[in-house]
Amino acid sequence: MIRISLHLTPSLEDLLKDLPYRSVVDVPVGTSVRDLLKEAGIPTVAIAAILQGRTLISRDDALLEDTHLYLLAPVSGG
Amino acid sequence: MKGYAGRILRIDLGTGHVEKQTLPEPMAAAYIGGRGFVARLIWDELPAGIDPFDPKNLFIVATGPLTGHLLPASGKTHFGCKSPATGGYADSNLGGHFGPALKYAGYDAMVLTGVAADQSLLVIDDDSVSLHPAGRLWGMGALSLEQKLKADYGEDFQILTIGPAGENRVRFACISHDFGRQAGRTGIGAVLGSKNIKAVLVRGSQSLEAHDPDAFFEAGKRAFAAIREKPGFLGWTPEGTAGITNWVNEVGAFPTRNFQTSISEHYATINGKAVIERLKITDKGCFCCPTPCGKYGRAQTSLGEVRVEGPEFESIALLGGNCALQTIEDVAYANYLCDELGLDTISGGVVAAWAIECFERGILSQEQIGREVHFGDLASVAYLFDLIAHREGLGNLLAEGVKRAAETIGQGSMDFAIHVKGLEWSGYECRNAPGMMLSYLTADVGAHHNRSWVLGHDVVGSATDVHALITGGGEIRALPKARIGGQSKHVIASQHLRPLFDLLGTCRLQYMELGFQIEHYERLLRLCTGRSLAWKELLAISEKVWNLTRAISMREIADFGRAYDYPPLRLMNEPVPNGPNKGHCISRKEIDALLDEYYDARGWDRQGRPTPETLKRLGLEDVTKRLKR
Repeated sequence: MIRISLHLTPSLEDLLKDLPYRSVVDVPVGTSVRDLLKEAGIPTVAIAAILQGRTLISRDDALLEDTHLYLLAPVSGG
Repeated sequence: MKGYAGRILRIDLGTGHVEKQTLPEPMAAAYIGGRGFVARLIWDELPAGIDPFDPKNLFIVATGPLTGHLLPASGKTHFGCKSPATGGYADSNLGGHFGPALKYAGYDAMVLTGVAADQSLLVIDDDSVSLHPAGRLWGMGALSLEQKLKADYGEDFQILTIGPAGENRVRFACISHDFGRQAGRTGIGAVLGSKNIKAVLVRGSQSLEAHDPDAFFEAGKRAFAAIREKPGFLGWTPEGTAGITNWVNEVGAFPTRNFQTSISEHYATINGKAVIERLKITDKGCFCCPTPCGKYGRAQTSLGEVRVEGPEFESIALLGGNCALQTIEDVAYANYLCDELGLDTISGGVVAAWAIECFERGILSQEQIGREVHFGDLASVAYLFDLIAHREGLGNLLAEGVKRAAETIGQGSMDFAIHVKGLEWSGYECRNAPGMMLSYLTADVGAHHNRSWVLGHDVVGSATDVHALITGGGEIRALPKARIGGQSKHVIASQHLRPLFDLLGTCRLQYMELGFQIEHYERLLRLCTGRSLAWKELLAISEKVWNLTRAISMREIADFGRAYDYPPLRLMNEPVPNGPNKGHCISRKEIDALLDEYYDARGWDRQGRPTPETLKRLGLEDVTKRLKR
């Protein structure tokens, strides 16, 4: 199992404030981001971008070790 | 007053009279700046009921107290007038560097009245204010003109320009600045053109004072550092606003083929990634911006090569989705054409798509248009934009905007003329997004997204059953029908929050998109001006301005009220034909429920008019008295 810590932007926290999501989740090695979010109780459609360190990753990327993910809410275009 | 330049520059273009008025402290105290100044000056000084192209219409430029100071993204400039598009209140803003330069020249705001006798440039060089002949420049493109004026007058001038669309009073003409920043909405470029002004140049050499300069400087530095540390800084900045394209399409909110549907099959060739991989030369930011969302690039198309800033999301949505242009290069070319001709890309994309649909339905003929026009065809879109900007042929009608054009053409075309109050709809399709729908319906300038953006709440928030979204793992094949009710609290909160930055004179993106903390703004405003205002107090001022702008439209449009707050029939009567929102639409009855809830929450009557009690609560008793007369 690996431990994933999720960090939400304030606008995402605002969007999800009524949901009982978890911000620390233990999942098997190789779990996709999509399945991780499902496990955490976060609707994937709430997420516009996911950062692992300085790298943008996709919902279909597999998670291989303990890590921190930064989740960004959808925001308006200009 | 610390933080401010301390003066309003007033120019009667007809008489040449120039006045440098001391900035009234009560106005600064009550309305902060920027959009607040625009609204109050229009209410106090615009002769009621005039035509938007009457010489007595005001053309107002206003900055905020934070504009031009060394803190993040403090380059915003606001413009206002009576709108040629809607006949009501108008404002629009841009980033870049003009506002800071205006303050360095010694002015917080500028008010133009009258009409210059000859086609002119307005040149403000610190205390010197003069009109220069512009006859030989009339007809030039907005971008080309800025380049020429930079060469002729010097790089240290900051310049606003209009293109042929502004000269020809196209009702959705914009103002251009810094080779790609536009105050795009509500037709303010046409008002500047109606005053015979082709460009405004400003150069300033003065300093701005701050209440506590040392602490202010340190707080500004900390603010820059805080933004760079935000996780969103790395996630959002690379693609800028174009980065939202995939998500908007995924949730079925991407306006496509004149809003016939809400999902585009070619979104991946016009998204943020395409901008970066196929167009971008460099990032481009506004004054003091640590998160440069502008992407300057080049595009090679069948019509030639262009260099352009953008496209940003709205241009992608209305040109790439709504006109169905298939590649980011084609979108960039159409974006460039709008910028050069001086057309708003949003309204331009809506008007062009409406004309194409009229042609495809046989409502407009090839003879009337001058050629065949089709969705997805860059040459068709370019042809229409050129006609519109020069008011040639059918372009003379299209230049009136989609509402007036549909009223003239008839034959059911009003049902798919996508606007509110006469302002064309921007980049979010709302047939399963009641909060965003309400945002558009009640935005004070017409169908514009920057007053309130609650699409996230519609899709994942309290308005929707999210259980299915979570257990579905994000595979969005079918979104549930959104519940109606409860939207007004999000919309009203957003309508106070987002325009608040337009009072301060800073860009909102660092707060809205990156989560830059409110405390920074409170601290920076206090150290800059000496005024201690809690965020809650600032929001109360923003609410006051919101009610004042509504009152302006009530005064200017005889029957203004609830009837002006409805969407076109397409968005009420036609279910979305495909995509995740297939089968959904928001009925007239549901729209009425949304409006009733909103009016009640605002303290307005069921006709959408602020009640005397509400105006009194907000300190707008004088507005009540004048509306009664």
